[in-house]
Amino acid sequence: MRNLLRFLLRYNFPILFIVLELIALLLLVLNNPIPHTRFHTSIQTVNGFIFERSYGLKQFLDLKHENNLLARDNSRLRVLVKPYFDLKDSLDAYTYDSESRGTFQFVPARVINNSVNRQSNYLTLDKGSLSGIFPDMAVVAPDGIVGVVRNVSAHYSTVIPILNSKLQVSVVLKNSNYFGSLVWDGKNYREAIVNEIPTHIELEKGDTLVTSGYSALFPPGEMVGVIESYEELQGGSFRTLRISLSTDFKKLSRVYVIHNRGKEERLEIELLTDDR
Amino acid sequence: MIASIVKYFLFFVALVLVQVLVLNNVQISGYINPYVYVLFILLLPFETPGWLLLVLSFILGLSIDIFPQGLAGWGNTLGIHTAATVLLAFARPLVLDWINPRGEYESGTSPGSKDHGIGWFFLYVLILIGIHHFALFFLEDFSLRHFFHTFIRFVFSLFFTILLVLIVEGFRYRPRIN
Repeated sequence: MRNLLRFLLRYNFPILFIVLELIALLLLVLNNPIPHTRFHTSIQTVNGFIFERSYGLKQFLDLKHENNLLARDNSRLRVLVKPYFDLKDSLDAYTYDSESRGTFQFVPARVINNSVNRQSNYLTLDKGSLSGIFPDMAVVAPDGIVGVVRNVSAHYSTVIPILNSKLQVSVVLKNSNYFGSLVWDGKNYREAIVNEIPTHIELEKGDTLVTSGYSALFPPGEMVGVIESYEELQGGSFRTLRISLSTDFKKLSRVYVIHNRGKEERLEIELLTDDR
Repeated sequence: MIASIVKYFLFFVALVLVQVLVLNNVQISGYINPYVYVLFILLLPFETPGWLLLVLSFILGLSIDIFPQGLAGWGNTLGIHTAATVLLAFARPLVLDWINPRGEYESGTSPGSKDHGIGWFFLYVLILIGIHHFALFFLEDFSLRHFFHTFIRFVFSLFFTILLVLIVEGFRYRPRIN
């Protein structure tokens, strides 16, 4: 007790300062409209945040079953719809390909692990070989392409997304049909680079790029992204585009793994031609 | 002793009245709000005990705070001037130690240009009023969002307060020219 008193006496100046300053700040916060409101608002923000999160979680748990149903339905509908597009393409080319109907099969899957901030990103899906997933199958999301299946176990598979510099995808400008190759420069998960676009074609910001189907990985016509910017002409014969990807990898949850049933046959004949 | 207490009391009342009746209504283009009342704390004698400094500055700040501020519709500022003035009183002994011109301060004197020269007085006033105004304007804004705007207000007001303080000092003594 005596020590405490001595302490208080010894440091009376800083202690009194702190006490008076605290009283003043208390008066300030309690009586002035601006700090008062600001305090109130921040408390409300915290409350709102917690409420929103808990509500979102509740909604998510309730809708899980619904989501599964919708995904299954979607994949069924995509299988139904795809042949009509193929048919239209074939009619345009004045050819008839009886085997192209139902070439692509869509397996719905859920992303259970994901990274976007590394240089070589990977995804994990909750379906594997038991669901008919095999290496080198294409993976797409409802809003755009995702990547290519790398490894497969019985119940899981890993995917190399286009956010990985190891993967190159052949893409085509939708309005001019010129193709280039898409790579990720590792900077921003919303953007990627397209190389080898010939210099003589007219480009416009916002032009759409889709998959070309040349690589046998992706079916043709899957959405990739739109042109964000392009470098000015510098005398070479190719130029580089920066595109904004249509797939938001941070929000990725439902994807479809695409089984191209004609792929083996196609690669076989392509290899044969290459060998001469 | 009694005489000097009465003298300081009258000085206190005069400064508060000048501040709330005249200077609080001076707001040139929203930037310049001189706050000369802090001169009271600055001019207290050197041997004023620390606790008395703090208590007096608390009362002084509160007196300024309880008056409606400035133009109509401005609302009160309860706590802002109190907080800034208490901070000023806390800083005063530290600053006095720091800018000590020659050893100890003579007992029985108070800070002023008469005993210590105009240069010393200017430095003393600049540091302490700077601390006070900085605390005041940023507490008033209560955020760093308008940092540049608040900083400009701080600089302009500091300039005008110091100008007024030096004018008052000029009336108190004839400044000693070296």
